[in-house]
Amino acid sequence: MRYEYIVADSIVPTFEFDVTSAETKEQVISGGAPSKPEMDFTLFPSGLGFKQEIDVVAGDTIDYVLKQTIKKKNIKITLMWKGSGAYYKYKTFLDWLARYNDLEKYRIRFSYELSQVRRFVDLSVIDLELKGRDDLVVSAELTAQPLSPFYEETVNSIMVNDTNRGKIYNYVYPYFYGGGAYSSSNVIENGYLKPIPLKITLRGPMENPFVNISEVNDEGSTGDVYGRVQFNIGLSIEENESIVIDAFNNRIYKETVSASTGAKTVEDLFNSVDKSYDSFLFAKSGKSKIAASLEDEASRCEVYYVRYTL
Amino acid sequence: MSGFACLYDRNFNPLGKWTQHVASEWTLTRKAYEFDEMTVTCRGFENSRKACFVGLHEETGKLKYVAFCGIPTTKENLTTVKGVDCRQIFNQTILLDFTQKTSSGAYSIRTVEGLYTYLLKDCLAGMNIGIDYDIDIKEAELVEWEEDLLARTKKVQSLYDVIQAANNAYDLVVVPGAKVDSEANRYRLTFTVKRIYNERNIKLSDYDVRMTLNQNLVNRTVARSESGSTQAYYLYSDNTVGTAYDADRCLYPPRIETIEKEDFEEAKAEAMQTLLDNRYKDKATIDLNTKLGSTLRDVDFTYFLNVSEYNPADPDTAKRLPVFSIKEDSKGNKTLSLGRLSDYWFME
Repeated sequence: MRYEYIVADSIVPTFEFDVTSAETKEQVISGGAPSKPEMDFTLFPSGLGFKQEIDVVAGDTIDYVLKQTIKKKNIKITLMWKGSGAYYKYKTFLDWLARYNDLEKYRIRFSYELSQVRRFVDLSVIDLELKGRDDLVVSAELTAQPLSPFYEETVNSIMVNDTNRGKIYNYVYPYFYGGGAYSSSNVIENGYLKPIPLKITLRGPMENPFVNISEVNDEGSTGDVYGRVQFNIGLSIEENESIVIDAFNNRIYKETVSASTGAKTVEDLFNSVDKSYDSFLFAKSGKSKIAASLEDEASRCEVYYVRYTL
Repeated sequence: MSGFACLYDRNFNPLGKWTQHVASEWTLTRKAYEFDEMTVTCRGFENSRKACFVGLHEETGKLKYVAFCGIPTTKENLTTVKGVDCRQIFNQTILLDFTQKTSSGAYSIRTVEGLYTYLLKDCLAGMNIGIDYDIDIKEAELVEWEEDLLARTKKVQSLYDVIQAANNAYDLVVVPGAKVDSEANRYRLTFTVKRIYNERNIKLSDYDVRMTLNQNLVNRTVARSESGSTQAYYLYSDNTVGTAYDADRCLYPPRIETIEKEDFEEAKAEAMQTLLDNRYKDKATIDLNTKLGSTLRDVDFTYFLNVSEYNPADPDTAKRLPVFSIKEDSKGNKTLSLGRLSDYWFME
């Protein structure tokens, strides 16, 4: 009798859960390492693809597309824990879910690696059904509702003013683990079908802060400005202050860090936005470029966005 | 089509520690000749006591619609607020005096912009309405005045009815909104008078349409004075009003209303106004999410739509109809209604 074994790639061993802060999007660290639950085996994944709904009018020859909507599919996985302490491991998993179940503060994230690219999705566990022990393993079926499309990376870009060189240049470093990417310019690349929200942080000192977003033409030149956030004339921020324009959570606020105590205070700044312009920025599909009020050497503009994918 | 809601006090200062509230759902029906309807549902507002206005914003922050704030109701941590059309300011029964004259003996109100300035601002002056607002009557300056259309009376009557009568007579519409006062960086409630002058040609078979027609209306009036003078007016099939009998254009069967007044001019003005109010008593509702509905997404209250194939049995029929209402919601649904037939026409 001959047996043939196929050595092939597999995504199952790459399944991971972790958790990020709902506000800062940074991975939550516990005991010096990213906080992750333990599973010994994962099986039978479903819902990892994509689903879209198309409204069409049927013609005699071709159909006319009226509306195209990307839908989110529930993700189902069977989790297993082995050994004599399998139930204890299941209970530890359950406790981890309960600790980070508050959607106001946290986002539980699921990810897997596909052809060496890790894909993430923010989700909320809506069902965990314990199947019980089957010999050496305890299994449970988990169902989760996605809160975002799948994404392959989040991007955090920092722009500074280099007056020594006489021009504004950009450099980046990731603020968080897992999915962070480097960007070498202030160009945002949105490969998704729809406009994506941006979280902009303007770090002082800054006078008359503003930030705008422009199209980038196919030749690479800067096109029309299609979004701008500006504040009341006369508004300025000091070095220990920053303005956050968060299109993910629909919040605009000023953060002040006390020089003596390090305490942070937060103040809603929606009424200080110049109402002739926008309040939040969204990047259209394709390439866009960000510009901000960076006249002072010490000022910074940080742009956070997510590269969603199907 | 997400967005967020914001409560404002009477000076348009946003309320609450966090002023923006993501809307879980909203519906907005804007109407040209009746009051708008708006409902928005979000997480609970922590401060609504001083709320005067509720603003519905698009996700970029642009103010989509502003209304007076109704009483919020909260259920299962979600608060629903109904917006009250700001044009309710004009829903008053007050003394309206169209007989005022200048020192030279001419009537004070003798232009369309003068009429709207009086109706939207001057007649409410000194009444402590409690709300500051601006009016934009630039487009009214482009409309020619017709003396016959105004009954020169001084009497207590419904201000909103008179405004709608003027809208019907001059093909105008009063639209509520908020403009930005750049100096103060604040919103200002503004009522804008807009002409209905844009035209779009459409074919009814290109859209999924529901139609209603009210044929039970007055289509001829006779103005009569106590001394015996009479003048007849006719509503024609093309929704114009005239004094000449035209067998090809008059509507059948005739439904005649006689208006008798001591003052013949007042009788004539009321007779004409009755027929002007009965123009466009059709209703065609087009769902913009079907077929070629996307071609009408930019249509607003400044449009007349020339609707051909109006009678499906006779493709040569056509009708010219103004926009009655635009309904949209957070799910992306959008519906356009044409004509001036109210939803409750059967109760009239």
